[in-house]
Amino acid sequence: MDPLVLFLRHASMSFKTWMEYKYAFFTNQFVQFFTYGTNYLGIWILFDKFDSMKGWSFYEVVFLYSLNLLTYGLSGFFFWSPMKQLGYMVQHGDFDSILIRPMNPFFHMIARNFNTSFFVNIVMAGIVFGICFNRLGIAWSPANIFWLVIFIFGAFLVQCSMFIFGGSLSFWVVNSSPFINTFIYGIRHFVDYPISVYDTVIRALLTFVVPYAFVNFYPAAYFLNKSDDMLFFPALQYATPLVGVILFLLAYKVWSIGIRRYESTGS
Amino acid sequence: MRLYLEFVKNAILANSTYRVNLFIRLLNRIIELFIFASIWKALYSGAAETTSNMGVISLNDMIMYSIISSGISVFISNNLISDISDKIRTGQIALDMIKPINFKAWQLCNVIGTNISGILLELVPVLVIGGLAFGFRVPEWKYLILFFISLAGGIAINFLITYILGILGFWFLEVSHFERLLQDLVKVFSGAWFPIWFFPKVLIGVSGYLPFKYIYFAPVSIYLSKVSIPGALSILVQQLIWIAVLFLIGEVLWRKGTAKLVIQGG
Repeated sequence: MDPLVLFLRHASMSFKTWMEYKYAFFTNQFVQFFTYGTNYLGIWILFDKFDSMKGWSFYEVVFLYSLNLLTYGLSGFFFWSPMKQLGYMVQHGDFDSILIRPMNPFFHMIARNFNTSFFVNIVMAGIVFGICFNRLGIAWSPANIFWLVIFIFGAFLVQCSMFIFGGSLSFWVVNSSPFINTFIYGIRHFVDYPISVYDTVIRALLTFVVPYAFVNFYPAAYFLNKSDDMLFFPALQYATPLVGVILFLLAYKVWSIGIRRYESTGS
Repeated sequence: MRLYLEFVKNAILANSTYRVNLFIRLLNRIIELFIFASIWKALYSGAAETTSNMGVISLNDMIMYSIISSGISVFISNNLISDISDKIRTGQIALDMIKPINFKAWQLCNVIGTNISGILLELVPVLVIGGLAFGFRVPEWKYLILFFISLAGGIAINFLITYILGILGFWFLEVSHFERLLQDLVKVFSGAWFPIWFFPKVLIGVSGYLPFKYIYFAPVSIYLSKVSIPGALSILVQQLIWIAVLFLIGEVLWRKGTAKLVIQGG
């Protein structure tokens, strides 16, 4: 059968499952709303007291944070559950059942495991992002819309890659969950704020080693004209899509090596 | 008593076993510390101090605030809520109840044991790395003693709140949502994230009705000597009142919960 048709069948199956658990669906949405609403509240608290953060205003920091949250939500929708469950499945041998299906294991893992808790992140971040776009007086010109779509796609790929890198560690270590947590609940928090607040070493790490800065800082630098804001090279503000694609290919490579390793150990 | 000491010892050993988890938690704390130190520097933007509704706050105060609250967080994170609610859901609680021990005291021993192992494996590294990177200062002895007492009070308040949420498992199948909500409330209103002295008036008002500020904010502001000695003593009294109230709520809920408990099968 056509892989795309299979993928869509799986997706519609997941959708039916959520509809069976309406109560869980809505409580999840509420909890996510509360958590990420709290984070916006935090930015408001800081800017109620202080005027600017290294030249970034309240709406600029909210813009930055929303871009992170939006693309995190999008990537979490696809990758949070499969990558979090992978460790357990490898340990218990359940992953074998994925390998014997007539479908690429990567897409199969995604298709059977969409995580709907991220709906509210995506909607909330999208709305707030739109408000910031207007508040900051960024024109909805064709060029800006083009770059916006490209940047969001690139940032989405960067966020996905972090999930895949962390999850693929399951093929090497017993419990990969702490590593994923370090990425998404540790290092990712660096880019909740403009990276120009950190010293050069941390900025370089976030640009060249764990390139979270491409999720929001560099795209925001393009829209907010921050090109003098201590970027390593001004051209980096356009690099998000390229970084995203390269990182994603790399992550997929690591995943493939991991699967081959899993097969060779046999259990 | 000897029995409970054994429980404490067990918890110390259990917590020290999961080295990777420990290391990752430590790493996340260090990352957070660097983030906070950097954003305070950026927000102060060259100024050495700023005014707040609790007097003048210097940049050094804020960095010290971040280090101390990161240290306190070692004692605040625990698995009590999921541990207790899992016991209730699986029926394990019935076996625990027929043991000749006090369930709450046993859970407290687990938390104390986890905290003791955290001192060496998590607290000391955070303080050493934070101190080397940003400097460290110790208040005069009176404040230091009051700080340790209020820290113990804060840990007790946190223990009682998480215990209460755990035994809500008698009524709700799934308490993990409450746990998430609690974490968010604690994050804002305990001052773990941003100190309450920088809060807008509305939120200061709200935080006054909640017990959370006694977990982080009160001990740290005593450490930084931002309250007078009588002020610190009145904080300790308020902590005691909250401990008494939460203790009573916990006892009532435990009685009602165990009274309605029916274990299927088993």
